[in-house]
Amino acid sequence: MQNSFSFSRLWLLIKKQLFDNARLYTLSLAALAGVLILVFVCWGIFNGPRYDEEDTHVIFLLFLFPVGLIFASTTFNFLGDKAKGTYWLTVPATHMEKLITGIVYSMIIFLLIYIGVFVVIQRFTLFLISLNPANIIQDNRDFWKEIRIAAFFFIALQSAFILGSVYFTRYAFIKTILALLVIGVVYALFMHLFFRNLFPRPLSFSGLTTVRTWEGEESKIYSLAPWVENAVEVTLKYIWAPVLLIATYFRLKEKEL
Amino acid sequence: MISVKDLHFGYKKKKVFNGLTLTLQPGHIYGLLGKNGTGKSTLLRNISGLLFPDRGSITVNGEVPGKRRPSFLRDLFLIPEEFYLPDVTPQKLITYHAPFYPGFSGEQFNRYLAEFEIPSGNTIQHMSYGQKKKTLISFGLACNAPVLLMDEPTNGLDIMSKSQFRKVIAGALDEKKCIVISTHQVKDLESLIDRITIIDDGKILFDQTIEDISRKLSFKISFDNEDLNEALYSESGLKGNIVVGRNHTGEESRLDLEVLYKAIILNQDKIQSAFR
Repeated sequence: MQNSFSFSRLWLLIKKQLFDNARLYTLSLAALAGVLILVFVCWGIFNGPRYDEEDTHVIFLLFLFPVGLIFASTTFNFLGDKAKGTYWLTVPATHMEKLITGIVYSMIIFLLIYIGVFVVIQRFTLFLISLNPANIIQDNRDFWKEIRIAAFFFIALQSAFILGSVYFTRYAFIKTILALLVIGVVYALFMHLFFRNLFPRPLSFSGLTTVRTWEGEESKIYSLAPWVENAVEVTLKYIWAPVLLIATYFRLKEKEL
Repeated sequence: MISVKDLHFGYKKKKVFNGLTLTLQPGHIYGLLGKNGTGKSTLLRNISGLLFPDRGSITVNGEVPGKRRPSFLRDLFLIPEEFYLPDVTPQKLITYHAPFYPGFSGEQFNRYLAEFEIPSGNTIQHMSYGQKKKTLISFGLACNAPVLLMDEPTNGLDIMSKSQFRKVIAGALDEKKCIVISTHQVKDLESLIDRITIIDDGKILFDQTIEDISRKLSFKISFDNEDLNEALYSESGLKGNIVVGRNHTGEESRLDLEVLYKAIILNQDKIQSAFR
């Protein structure tokens, strides 16, 4: 048997995951659709006769984050249950294949289904609203281009919650939030102390690598080279998810039950 | 096949193994006996790669269990005491779970299910605990993995099921398979195992084949004081004194596993002396 990565085994795992959790996924999908329908019904009733499509995008983000992160925090939460964890860890497949299966469901399939369900309900609601000639709908088709930054942030957060689902055996969602808060506070304190010692006060940021300081009426600008700015931006955008998912892989490998 | 060398393992507050060494060969059904909390399940979980040794080494067919490589996981099937199966019919298990095991035989699986009298149309969550366990045992056997580890497999099985279990396991053994059954219900393994390994306090207390035990020890019920005086171990029962003594005649007596187990736990030195 091949011990390195195998696409055929990955496909078997993906099918098995669907079959093992078919009921859970169906119920989750129904619940998500039900809640979104309810929200859109309320929006349709209480916002007339002027409707701004922008409002629906707020709804999109408002549900995407909690639902997506809760779902991500359940990716490997069965490892907190000895019986289920044993069943899963003893399936003859590599840790990488098992991790990718988790990513496929929690990140890719979830996102596709969420967007699909949302768009269907949103378009159908807007269609129903447009049937009444007295209603006015303000279009905003640029939304999908505008949310790119939010998408990077969401994927990084999802990766953190997937890691949390392996790391914490119980209450993974809450514990991951607490861990992120602690890390955030420590980081903010560090940055605060670092810049207070490095520059005279007061100071303000302009971009990621440019700092402006004031001394009375005078101000000075400290700026790193543009390529450093670009490198920092790219790193902040793209690095989190891979780093966190690699950490998840090693955590899975060393998981004991 | 399974080689455990100088195994040291402990949980946060409790040391379980302190230099345990053990070798298990194919073609045998091993009975791993011991009191609750002596480390039987921990040993099986170490062998199956779910726990990692603190020190020492374990190899199974040359593979290190802790790496959990697919080739290792394919060749070892663990039936844990606390188990999980998805809520599907046994036939769906064949479709989605069996493809990971190249040696899996659907025909064998159905035969074992029939022997265990498992209704094929029921989903697993609608089965009783005993039926679920028998489904898992059937699946594990049908995988035809060279190593089959069972942790307290008869827990939750009724009298008839225990009898079916012994029959099915005895029929499943071949010269390539190594079956290890861990239990504290020693009676359930009578006439099934061919080697007894008793663990106590994280150490191997006793490790002999049934053949050797039958050749060297005799089990009988006696009222004779001389037998009692010479006994390596005795206890009073309803029918008289149950006596474990040295087998001087060479005639094999019916092995009473429960009495042997108690004799080893309570009178280890005397029993061991018969094997030196």
